[in-house]
Amino acid sequence: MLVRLVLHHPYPQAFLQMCNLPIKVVCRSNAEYMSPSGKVPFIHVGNQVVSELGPIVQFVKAKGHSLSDGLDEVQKAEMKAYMELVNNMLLTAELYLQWCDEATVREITYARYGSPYPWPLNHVLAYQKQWEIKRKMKAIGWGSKTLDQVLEDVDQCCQALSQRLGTQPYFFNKQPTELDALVFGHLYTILTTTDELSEKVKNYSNLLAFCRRIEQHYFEDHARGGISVRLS
Amino acid sequence: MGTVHARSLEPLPVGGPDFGALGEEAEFVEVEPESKQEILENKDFPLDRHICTGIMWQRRKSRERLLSPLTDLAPPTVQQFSMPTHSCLVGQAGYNSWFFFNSFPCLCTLRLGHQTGLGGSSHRAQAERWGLPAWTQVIALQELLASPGAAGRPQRLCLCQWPAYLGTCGLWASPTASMSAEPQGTFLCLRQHLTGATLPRPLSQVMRKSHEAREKLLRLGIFRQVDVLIDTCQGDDALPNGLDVTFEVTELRRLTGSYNTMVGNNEGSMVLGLKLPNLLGRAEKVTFQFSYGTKETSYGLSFFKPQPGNFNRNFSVNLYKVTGQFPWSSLRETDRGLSAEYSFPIWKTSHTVKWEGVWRELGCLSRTASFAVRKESGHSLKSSLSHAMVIDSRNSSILPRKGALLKINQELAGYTGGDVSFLKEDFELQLNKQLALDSVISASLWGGMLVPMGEKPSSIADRFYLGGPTSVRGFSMHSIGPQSEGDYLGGEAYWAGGLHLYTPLPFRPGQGGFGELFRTHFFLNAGNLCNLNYGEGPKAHIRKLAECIRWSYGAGIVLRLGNIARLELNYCIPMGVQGGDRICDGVQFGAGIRFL
Repeated sequence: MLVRLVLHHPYPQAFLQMCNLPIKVVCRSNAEYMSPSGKVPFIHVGNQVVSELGPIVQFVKAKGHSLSDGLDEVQKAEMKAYMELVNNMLLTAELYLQWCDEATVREITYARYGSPYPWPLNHVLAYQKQWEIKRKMKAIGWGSKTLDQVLEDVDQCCQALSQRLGTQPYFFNKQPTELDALVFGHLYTILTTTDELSEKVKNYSNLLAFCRRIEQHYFEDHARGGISVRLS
Repeated sequence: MGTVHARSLEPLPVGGPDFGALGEEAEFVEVEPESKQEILENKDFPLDRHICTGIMWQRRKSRERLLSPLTDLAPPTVQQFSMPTHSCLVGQAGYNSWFFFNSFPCLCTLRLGHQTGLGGSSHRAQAERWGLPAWTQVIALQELLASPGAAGRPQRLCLCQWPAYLGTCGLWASPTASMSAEPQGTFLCLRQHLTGATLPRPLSQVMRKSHEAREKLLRLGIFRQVDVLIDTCQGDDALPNGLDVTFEVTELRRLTGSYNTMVGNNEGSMVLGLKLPNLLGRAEKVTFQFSYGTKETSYGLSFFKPQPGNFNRNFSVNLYKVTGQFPWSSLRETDRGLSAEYSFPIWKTSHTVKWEGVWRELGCLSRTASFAVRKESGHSLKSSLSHAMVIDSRNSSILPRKGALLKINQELAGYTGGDVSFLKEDFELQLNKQLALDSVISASLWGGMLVPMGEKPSSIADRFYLGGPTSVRGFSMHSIGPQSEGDYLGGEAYWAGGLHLYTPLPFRPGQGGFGELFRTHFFLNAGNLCNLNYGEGPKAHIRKLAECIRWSYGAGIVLRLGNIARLELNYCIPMGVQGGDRICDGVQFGAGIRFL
C-alpha cells in the first residue's frame, strides 16, 4: 500500500519506514486545514485519511504491520509512558519556543508561518495562531513559565530518555519501536531548527548517536526524498 | 376654490422595472371636480419668470445655530432676483442637493407662475424679528401648528427666497420663544431637480411633473409618505394664474431596529438588525445586521450614498462576514470581506464597478469529504475588480410579461493583491413576449467562463455550478458536472438555457385576486458544465460544451412572492444524465430569486 504522508515532523515517516512501508512525502502549506482533526501529521491511504500518530499506529496495526509485537505487557506500558513523556514535554517545549519566546517569534516564526499567504493575511493568520497557542499554554499551566524553566524541563526529559536508552541501540531490545520513531522525530526537529533546545540535547551523547544511527539506517539507505541534513 | 389631489397608490417604489412610468402603475384619484376646476384644467399658466421650488431643511441644535449654516451658503448681500427664462419649471438645473432630517411632517408651499413682486415691508420686518438673514427675500409668512407628533408646538414657517444663483426657496421653521433649547425644529433643504421646458404648461403636465417629483422623493427611501397638493395661488401676494404645489412629507424614523430569532437546520440563531435611513441628511443609508448562532456568527455593515439629485448614481461600502455550508461539495466556507462599489447609468444601461477583498476560509463539512475537496481547505485571499452591466426593460423582475434583460459581468482577480488570480465572465439573457389568452413565452440563456491566470489551478469557491430547482430543473442542487467521490467540484465553463410558457391557472380560480399570483408553467431546460483545456482553440471549447448536454422538461405551478421571489413546484423529467450527476426526477420544489 502506498501511503502519502503530509507532515511537519518526521516521526511518522520514520515509523512507516521502520515498518518497511513505501511512502511518499508531500509538503503543503494548508496541511493543518486538510487534516480531519486539525493536527498534523496525517496520512492519506487509498480513500482514508488518518491523522496524529496514535491513530496512525492503530491503522497500520489493523493492516497487519506492527513494531511492538515482540514486547510484553510491562514493556508496552513502559513504552506508552515514555511516549506520553515525550509528547507532553518535548512537543510542548517546541511549541513554547516557537510561539511564546518573543525573539524566536519575531525573527523566525511569523515569517515562516505567514510565508505562503499574501499580505495582510500573513499577519492575521500568524497572530491568530500565536493567540491560540498562548491560550493552550495557559490552559496546561505553561503560560507562566519562563524560557529557563522550559529548558530545565527539556533537560530533565532528555536525561530520562538518555538513562533509558543507556548503551542500547534502540529503546527496547534490538528492534526499533514506535517510541524510537517518536523520539527520533522530535530530537531531529530540535537539533535541526532551534539553538537553545539543541544545546541541551547535545549534552547527551547517546541520544545524538541514536539519532545519527536511525538517520543513517532508515533515511540514507532508503534515499526516498528524505531529509538528509547532516547532524553536527 | 378647487383643489386637485394627486396621489399614487404605490407606497414605496424601489427602483428598476417596478418603478413604473406614469400610466402603468400609478393612478390618479380625482376629487369631485368643482366648477372652478374646469377652468383651471384647460388653462395655460404663463411661466416666463418663476421661482424655483425649494424647501430648505437643516438640522439644528439651537436657535442660534439656525442662521450659521445658511449664512455659510451665501454672502450677506442681497442680490437682485432674476431667474433665467430657460431654467426649469421647478427647480434649477445643476443644484441637486437635498438634506432631510425631521421628526414631524411639514408643509411647504411652492409657487409657480408669474412673479410680480417680492414680499412687502411688513414681511421683512417680521422676518428680521424672527432672525432671518438680511439677504433673504421674504415672500410669505405663515404660522402653522405642528403635527400631533411634535406635541402641539407651533411652528413658524416662512417661505423665502435665496439669491438667484442659489436658486432655491427656503422654508424656515423656528420655534416660538416658549420652547426649550433642545433640538426642535428642522430646516429642510430640498433643491429638487425637475426637468421641464419653460413653455406654459397645462395643468395635467404640472400634475405629471409633480407626480414624478413625488416618485423621486419616495425612491430615496427616507420618507414614509409623500403627498402632493396642487392649488391655485392664495394669499395677498398671490401670483395671477399661479399654482401652489405643496409636498407634504413624513419622514421615516431616524433609527429603526429589528430583532429576530431563527431556528433551522440544527442551528438556532439570534438576528439583530439596525437601519439608519438618512444618516447625514442626504439620504445616506447605513444598515447593520448581526446574526449570532449556535454554530456560526455572521454580520454585515453597509453604507450607501446616492448622489444628491441623481439616485441612480450611488456608492456603497460593505463589510461582511458570511458563512455558508454546501453539502453537495461537502464544503464549508467562511468569507470575511470588504467591498466598495459605484453604480452609474449610461443611457439605458446601468453599470456597477466594484472592488472586493475577501478572506476565504474553506473547510470540510464532514469526515467523509473527498480528498479533492480536502486539498482545497485552508485560507486564501481574493482581491478583485469587477464590472457589471445591466439592461432591463422588463415590466417586473418576477414573472415578467414583456421586455428583456441582459446582464454581463466580468471579474478580474489577482492584480490588486491576494493569492487567487483569474478572469471570470458570465452573462444572463432573458426575453419575454406576451401571447394570446394571457400567456407569456419566455426564453433565457446563461453562460460563463473562468480562466485561471498563473500556474495555480482555480479554487472550488470560484468555479461555476449547475443544476437544481433554480437552474436546470430535474437535477439535484448543483449536482451536475465534475465530481469526486460524490462531492461536486464545479466547473470552469458552463451554459444553460430555458424555454418557458406561463399560463394562468386552468379554470382561473381566484381571478382578480389571489389567483393572479399563481401561474402554470411548462418548461424545457438544458445545460452543460465542464472544465476546458485552455490550450486548445475556441472550436474545441464549443465542441466540449456541446457534448454531454443535460436537459429536462416538465410542468409545474409558480407562485409569485411580492416582487422579489418566487416559489415553484414542478414535475420534472431529466434527460441526458451523465454518470456522476444526481437527479431529482418527479416532483421538485424550488424557492429563490433568480431562476433559469
